[in-house]
Amino acid sequence: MSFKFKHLEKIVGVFLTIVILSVITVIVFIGRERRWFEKQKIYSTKFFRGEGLSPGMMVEIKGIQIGEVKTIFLNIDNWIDVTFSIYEEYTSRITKDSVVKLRAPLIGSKVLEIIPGGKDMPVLESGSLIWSKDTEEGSRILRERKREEIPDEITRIISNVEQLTYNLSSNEGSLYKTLETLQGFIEQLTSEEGSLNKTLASIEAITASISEKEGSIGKFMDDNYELYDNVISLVEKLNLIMDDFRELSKTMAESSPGIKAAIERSNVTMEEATGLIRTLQDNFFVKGFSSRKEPEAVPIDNAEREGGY
Amino acid sequence: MGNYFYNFGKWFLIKIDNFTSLNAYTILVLKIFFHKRKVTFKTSLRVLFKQILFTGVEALPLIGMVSLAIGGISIIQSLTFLPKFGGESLIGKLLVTVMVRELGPLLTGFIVMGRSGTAITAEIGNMVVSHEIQALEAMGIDPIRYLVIPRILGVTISLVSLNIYFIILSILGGFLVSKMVLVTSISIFLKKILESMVLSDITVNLLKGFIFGLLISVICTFEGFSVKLSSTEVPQRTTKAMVNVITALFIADGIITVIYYI
Repeated sequence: MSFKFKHLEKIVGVFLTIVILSVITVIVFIGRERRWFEKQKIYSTKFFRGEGLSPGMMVEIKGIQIGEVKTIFLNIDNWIDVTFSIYEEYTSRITKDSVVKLRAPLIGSKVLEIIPGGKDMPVLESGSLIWSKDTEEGSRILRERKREEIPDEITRIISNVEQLTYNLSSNEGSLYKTLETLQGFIEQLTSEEGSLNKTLASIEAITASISEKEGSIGKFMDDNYELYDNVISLVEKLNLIMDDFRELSKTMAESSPGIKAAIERSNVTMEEATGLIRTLQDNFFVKGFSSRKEPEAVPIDNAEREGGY
Repeated sequence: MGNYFYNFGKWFLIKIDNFTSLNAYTILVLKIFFHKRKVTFKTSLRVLFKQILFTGVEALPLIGMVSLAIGGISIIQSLTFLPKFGGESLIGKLLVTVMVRELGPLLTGFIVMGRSGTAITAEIGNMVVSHEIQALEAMGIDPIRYLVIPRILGVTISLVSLNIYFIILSILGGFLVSKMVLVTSISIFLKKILESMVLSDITVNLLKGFIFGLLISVICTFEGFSVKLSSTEVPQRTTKAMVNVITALFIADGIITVIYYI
């Protein structure tokens, strides 16, 4: 049987085939990301309170998603029965003494966290109950585990202290280097050629010369109040000068109208002299062929304007 | 004041009448669609293929250009503000939300409406004016079966398909832009997109494409058949079809989004 397709049908066929293939591919990839095709085991637990629990919620071990919550149900004893699936690759970690707890991250919704049990414990079968932190058994397991963890903690601290002492005692440690530097510094200070020794010797010489009345400071200290008397007489003279100055300023204030008129007259004379000089400068015979440069205009402040604004 | 209420009441009654007529028309189309009659199947199939070619294949370059640009622009915009509060990891989620859920179906719907919806209304309107519809009926050919159903199927299939092309090309556009800014490979980029995408995103996208396609084709064919006598009615009906389609698309988009995500 032979088929004959028109060009139109072929184009439309390709157009639609690409769409169908794309949709299938995207769905397969989403399925792979969401682990639809992976085998899972179902476990259950129960909580005293159900705030934040929802179907589809993540199940994690130490922040890694290992499954999701399937159903949530309030049972006859008013406890929350929760069933959840775990991806098969992680089911070996779900041992008999595993405990489930609700963890609220800083951002985002709550997650169901599984605290995995010991490696030597039997692995739980699909459909088994895992104790939650809310149950007595769950909290007992956690208490025991914490008790077991305390010696581990002490061992860790001792190990840290050991490391610290080694660091301090070793030649490459920071404390050793600091001590070495300090030792060098002290040696430099105490040696005869050191700067501290020299400074101390200089101070000793200065104090000796002062006490033996040598040098300027020594002489000043042994002048039988001569310098003090001089300073006192200087102050008295200064007081007299100040009195004279006060008298002079008073006299000038009284004769100020005469001074003002004299200044005005001298100003007029100055302006006339300036005009004469400018006329002479502008004269061809005096100026010659050189030109006088006009002073540049300087902007004036508002306060200087007549009348202001 | 009385005149105002009279005008408002008149306008409201016309709107109600149009809406009920559109519903009756949709029921009629569905009735004819599900009524078995193989006589015109082959001819209708040819019309369907032509409609897909015109609405889907020929619109692909325009859709491609728009989707590449929108994908790139969304990535640029998100890269300018998301890193400020450490939200680089949300780029994939943003692209999925914008492209797959909202902008993709709406933009594709508007492009198809502008290209094919107007053409369908004008074509059917002109056929009514030139009595071609009457001629078809005189020959015993049902115009709904011969003209409307292939167009509804064609536009709907094309719109759903164009939506998928829009997603693919916008993701490609986003990748090309992010490649310029970030050092990332296509596999990591696609992984981030797929991590953010859930099945409901694809379902909603396809559903929106399907419903938008139905709305565009039903409203446009209805407005085409609403032309009575004069050829001057054709552009008026075309404009009215566009306005009604835009309103219908936004209402449908809102309803679907509310149903799925709230």
